[in-house]
Amino acid sequence: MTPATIGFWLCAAGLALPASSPPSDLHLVVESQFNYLASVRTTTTDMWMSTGRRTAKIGETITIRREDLGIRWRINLKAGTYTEEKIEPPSPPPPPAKEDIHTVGQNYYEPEFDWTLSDSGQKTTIAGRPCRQFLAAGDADYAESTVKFWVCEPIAGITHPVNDAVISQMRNQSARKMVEQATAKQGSAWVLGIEETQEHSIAPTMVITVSVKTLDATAAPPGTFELPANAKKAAR
Amino acid sequence: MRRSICLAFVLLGCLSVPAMSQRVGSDPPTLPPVVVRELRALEETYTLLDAAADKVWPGWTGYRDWPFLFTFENGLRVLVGHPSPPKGFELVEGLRIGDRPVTVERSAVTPLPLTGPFSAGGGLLPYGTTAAGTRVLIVDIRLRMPRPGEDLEAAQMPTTENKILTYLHELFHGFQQSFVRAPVGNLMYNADTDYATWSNIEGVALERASAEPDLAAAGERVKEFLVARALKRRSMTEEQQKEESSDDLMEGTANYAMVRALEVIKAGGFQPKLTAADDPAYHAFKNVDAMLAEHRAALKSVAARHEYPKRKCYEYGCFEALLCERLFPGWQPRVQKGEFIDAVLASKLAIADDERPKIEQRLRNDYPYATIRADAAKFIDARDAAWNQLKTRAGRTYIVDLKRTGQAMATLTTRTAAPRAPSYTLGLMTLFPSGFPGFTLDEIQVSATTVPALTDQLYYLKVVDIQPATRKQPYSVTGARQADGTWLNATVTTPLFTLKAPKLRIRETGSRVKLQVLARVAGT
Repeated sequence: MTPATIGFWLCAAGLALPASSPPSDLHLVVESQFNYLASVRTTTTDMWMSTGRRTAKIGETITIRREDLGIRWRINLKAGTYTEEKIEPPSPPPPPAKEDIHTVGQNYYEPEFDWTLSDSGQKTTIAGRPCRQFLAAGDADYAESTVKFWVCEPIAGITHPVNDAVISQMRNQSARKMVEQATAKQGSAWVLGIEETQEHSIAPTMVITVSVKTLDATAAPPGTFELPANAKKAAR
Repeated sequence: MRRSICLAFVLLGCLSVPAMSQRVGSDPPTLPPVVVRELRALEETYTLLDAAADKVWPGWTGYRDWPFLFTFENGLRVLVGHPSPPKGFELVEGLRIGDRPVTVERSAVTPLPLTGPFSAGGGLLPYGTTAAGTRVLIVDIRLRMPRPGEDLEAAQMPTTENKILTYLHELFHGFQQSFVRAPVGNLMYNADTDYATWSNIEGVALERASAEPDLAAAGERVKEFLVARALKRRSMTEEQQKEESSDDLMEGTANYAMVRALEVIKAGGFQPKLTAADDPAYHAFKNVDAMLAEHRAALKSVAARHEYPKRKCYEYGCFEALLCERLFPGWQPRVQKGEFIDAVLASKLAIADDERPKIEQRLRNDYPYATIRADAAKFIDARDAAWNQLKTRAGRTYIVDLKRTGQAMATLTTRTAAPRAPSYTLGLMTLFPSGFPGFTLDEIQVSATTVPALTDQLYYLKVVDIQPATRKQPYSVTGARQADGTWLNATVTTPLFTLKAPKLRIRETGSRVKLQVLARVAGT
């Protein structure tokens, strides 16, 4: 099945849309787990999104991105300090490097997978929203990957980059691109859950799960996108 | 039934012990004697370190705290001393190693017989967590049964002494964790002719310095080593130079610890506890002189090998450390504060600006510079020609994937004592410009190819058919096809080679045919 089917399903499913315009802010909590070598590392990210403004809190660290000011703050809650940096425009991809015999065959193997995408037909509810599961199998010379992802219809009127928050937690760039493309072609589908299994060329199997736990269109509390009043600027 | 047979073999004390059965329900786990014997080598390592650790490196303690994971070729995993064994590990009652509990994980055990003897290799690895969720670093050891016809280096021979020294080496890496605060990446660098030439001369200089009885003269040879190193590094970035010095430090001091332990044994400072009755392959280091000589021979041997610069860090770093110990006793704290070993030598043996060209002249006149350079150029030119030939091959790609067997592909061909097909290492690849020689591993067979091929990423063979349009079909397969799509007792015939495997999966994607070998013996 091609990615176009995702859009078809989203339309055909006729998912109910809220009747009134929701607030423009969005609160979401995303949990990701990295399963590798008999241990599980869990990261919970508490995020707020508003027009041109975003925050992400992981443990004692908050990152605030202010597109309107062109800056990003990283706040260390424990130390009561913050750093500030300019948001640089994305740099263009570097030109292909000329082969250097000193490093041929030495680079970390980051495969570009050939993907096969299909609709599993399975449905579930994530963060209160009905979702449907898609399966993708990736093959490369020395690696394989399987990706299950769950997509839902967005909340009407909300255009915040929910997918960035979820897809960016995936491990493999090719897998990330595949999910981005599969959903972007449909214009608006949100990815609320991912299970990525990487059979790396050398390393043991890695399993990465990402799941949206909370998804609320609601006004952010005052100060959400501001520096805490008592935070001190740290030397970089 | 299989379990009963297994136990019967164990009770009879047979040398050839069929592997522990696959998952055996609630049976309490036991270990065959051949496995227990392997664990006793770890216990003897602790005995050696109790006697020698502080002489090997002042202040070395904590070696008994490191958990060990032993993985056997049949999939059996044995964990010693883990504070919170991961799911699936079961306690082996009545067995303790270094007064620590032993657990075993049997879910992936295959019928491959564990006959021994085993050679060991390993490294540090995060594995599982404590009950409180803190990541646990362990010593990960892979035990392998060398196959008939393999050409092993002395240190790779499966003797108990070699394994004890391997465990000591890995435990020293554990000790390094206490003082290497900002680890530098591993060197990933292929030699060019200049690098290969000066790298070889570096090794000769270290060898000459070590053999020099007069301390002042030894210092002059060390200066020659330092100048050769500077000449060698002209094509390297600053980061690559740091990585190389760091590799010398990390692997070199771990090898140095092995040599120092042998010196303690030679001086009579060790009373073995393990006996030949416990382990017939153990001779309580009676051959300590020969083992020390092997380290000197290894320095000479690796110096002349151009294909794999990183491999030299074990011996070069070791001899840099031995020279530090001889010329500048008490040098260790500087390394523990963050200096590389070559930097310690350089600071102690400062070379004046006007002295440097004179030393370089000595290197060109008093060392076999011209011969070494000619040899290096011949090798590097042939390697580069092989790469240029292989990288242009396009068409249908065949991949043989051994990852699930845990067996490195290149090892199967380059360790054979039989006449070898020419091969060249380039990064993680091994290039076979005149064809891959094929191999047999248990019930897996890959025939030789007549076209160029390469192995890459440890576990994979890649062969490209540049004339796929002339073939009627990419491959044919015989065997028993299973409901899950895998094949048992499969023979796959391609236009370029034939593969036989007891269990196989075939994946076709575009112009790629991937043959994934899932087992080494039938019945898995």
